[in-house]
Amino acid sequence: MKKFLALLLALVMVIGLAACGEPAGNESQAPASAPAGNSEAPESGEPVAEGPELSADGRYPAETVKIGFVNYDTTAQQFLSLQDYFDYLDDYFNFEIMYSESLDSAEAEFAFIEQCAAAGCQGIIGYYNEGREESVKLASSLGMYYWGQGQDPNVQEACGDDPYYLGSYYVGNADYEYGKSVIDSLVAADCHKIIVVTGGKDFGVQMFIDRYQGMMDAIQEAQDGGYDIEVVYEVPGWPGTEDFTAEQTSALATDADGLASALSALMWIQPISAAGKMNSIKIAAVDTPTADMVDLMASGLFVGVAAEIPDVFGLGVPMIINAVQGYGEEQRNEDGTAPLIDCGFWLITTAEEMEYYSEIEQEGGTWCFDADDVRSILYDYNPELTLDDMSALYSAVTMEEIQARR
Amino acid sequence: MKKSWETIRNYFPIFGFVIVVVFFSIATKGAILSGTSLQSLLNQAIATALVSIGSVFVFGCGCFDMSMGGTLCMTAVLGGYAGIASGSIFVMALACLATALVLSLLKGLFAAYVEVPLFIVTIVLGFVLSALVLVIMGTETTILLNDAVKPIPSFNFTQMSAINIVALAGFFIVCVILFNFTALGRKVKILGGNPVTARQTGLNSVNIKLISFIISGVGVALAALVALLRIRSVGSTYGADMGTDVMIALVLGGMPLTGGPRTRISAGIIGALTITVLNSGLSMLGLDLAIIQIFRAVIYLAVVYVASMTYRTNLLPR
Repeated sequence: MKKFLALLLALVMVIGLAACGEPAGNESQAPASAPAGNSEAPESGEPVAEGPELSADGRYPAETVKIGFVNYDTTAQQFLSLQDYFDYLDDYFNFEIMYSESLDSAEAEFAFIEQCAAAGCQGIIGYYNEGREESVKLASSLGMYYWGQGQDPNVQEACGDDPYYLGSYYVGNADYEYGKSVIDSLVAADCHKIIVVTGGKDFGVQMFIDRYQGMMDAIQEAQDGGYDIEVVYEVPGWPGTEDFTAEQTSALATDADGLASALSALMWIQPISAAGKMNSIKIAAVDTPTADMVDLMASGLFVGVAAEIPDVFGLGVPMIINAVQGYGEEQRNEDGTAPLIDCGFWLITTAEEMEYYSEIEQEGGTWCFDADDVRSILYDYNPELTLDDMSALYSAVTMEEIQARR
Repeated sequence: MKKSWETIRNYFPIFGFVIVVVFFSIATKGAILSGTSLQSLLNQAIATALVSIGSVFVFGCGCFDMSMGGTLCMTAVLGGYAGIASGSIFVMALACLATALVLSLLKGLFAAYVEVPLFIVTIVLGFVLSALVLVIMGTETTILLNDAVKPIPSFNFTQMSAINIVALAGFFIVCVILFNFTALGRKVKILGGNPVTARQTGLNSVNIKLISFIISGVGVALAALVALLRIRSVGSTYGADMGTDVMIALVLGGMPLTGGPRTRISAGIIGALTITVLNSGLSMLGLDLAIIQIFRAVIYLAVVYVASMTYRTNLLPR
């Protein structure tokens, strides 16, 4: 009995402390509707005569905007690049990111979103979304803006009218296009017998199903055009398993001259080298540009890389800052729904392009969308901003287009 | 003097929980004790707490069950399919209960009649259940209650917190009564403490084990149901860490995993709350992700060391 009295006392103490604690959640707040005042010029020397109010250290906005970031793999190259990009933006904009650990279920995702609300976050970037529209609804019910995953039609349909839902980037049927681009690169490199690495296609993972379909349609189109091309082997699953290694060995025993991978193909280099086929197989893959890949492209082993641009996910930062600063209505479609902002992707076919993209997309780099680009899509800096302007900026991603903005 | 020290040591898990709460209250400047955060903590702790409370009976009688994750996942998936097919919360709840009870009964029969170390059987069972879930779900990775033939009512954050409180309080009170105020609790402790003595005193170990697993099954069914209502979806990886979470919760709650006389029903809830406050607090501090992992490991070791001072038996079965 004494033990339960002690337990009861502990709970009473916790509840008592709860009553004393300051509420960090903001579920009762309505979306801001009025823009922040513009008063001081930035201290960073930007050419803004009468700019928005800044923080004490000269960053915009004056009050720190805390944003939760829902992630699925803290070791993924793209995530690491994105972290560097946020660190870069942090020098110019007054925001703070609260990263999740590697999440693998809707339950864990919900828990993190709730933790974000308790920690005082005002927005969520859905880099990973297992709970689909329910994740958006949860963030909304806790008074936080949610950006990302609008390519899922269910999310857009269920939450498009929610004022706390800010939409997402949109790359069309991006994964399908990645798959097509990979095969097109191999066709351009005169490959005819193809090993196809399908990733999670057989496990029902939609992005891999779409990439695979893109590959198959590109092969069919090439065949219809009279080009001699065929799939000689399919390798399912992910590296790191005995099954995958066995499939690699079997695939390399064929007379394939091309390898199309729906995921990073770096794990193929050593097996290809061991099989003595470095000069007889060419690789095209969906991957992230890195410095290591420059030499691989220069050597001719890699002939094409379709790459999602990490910075694209950074669009969530200005979208959330705009909403917090009271421009939520301005950045919605005419019918009041959350917008999908058109974004491009990279198809890298030369070592020069790979070197450029990998150099800008790293710590100390100038990035695809630099601070000036981001500033141009903040309403306090650009009151005439339209959604078309955002789409135009985020679609202009080629080397020439980026250099033209610098 | 010695008796006083023994008494104090019994409260170490509660002290550990209070210290964790106080530490993160200070570190987060009270944010972790805000209304939103407390509801969030409850929502996060609910599944581990329900499964852990039920598991106290199973571990208490010396049965080392490592299949909680697979059992929870299978229960939630079959419950989810039943809900989608019927559009009824009631049918979904029945399916959860039936699945969890059948699986728990199966484990209870193994524990009672088969002379194979139960932890090996349950490790294998966990793998089998996870594989079966993949077979049942086919190419789907997630099933959604929104696909139900009739709309299944949804509950907002506050409503879900209320449901969780009712489910947790109800199950906890029933288990407290069963464990502390009926002969079942004493029998469980005797069986876990020394099965030979228990047999020689005439206790029916088969019945005790079966009842313990059935109670554990009810906890799993409740956990699966509240998860389905809250998340409105279930994936093939749901509950994957539940087996280890339950063991950590019980140890943090001050209970030896070998069961016996030190078994206490409060271990399930104290341990689950400690884990949840720890994880949430670390996340809310916004520390580097690697630092969080190291910090969590150090705290686990410290709390387990302190908790281990309350018993002298080894962790693994004799």
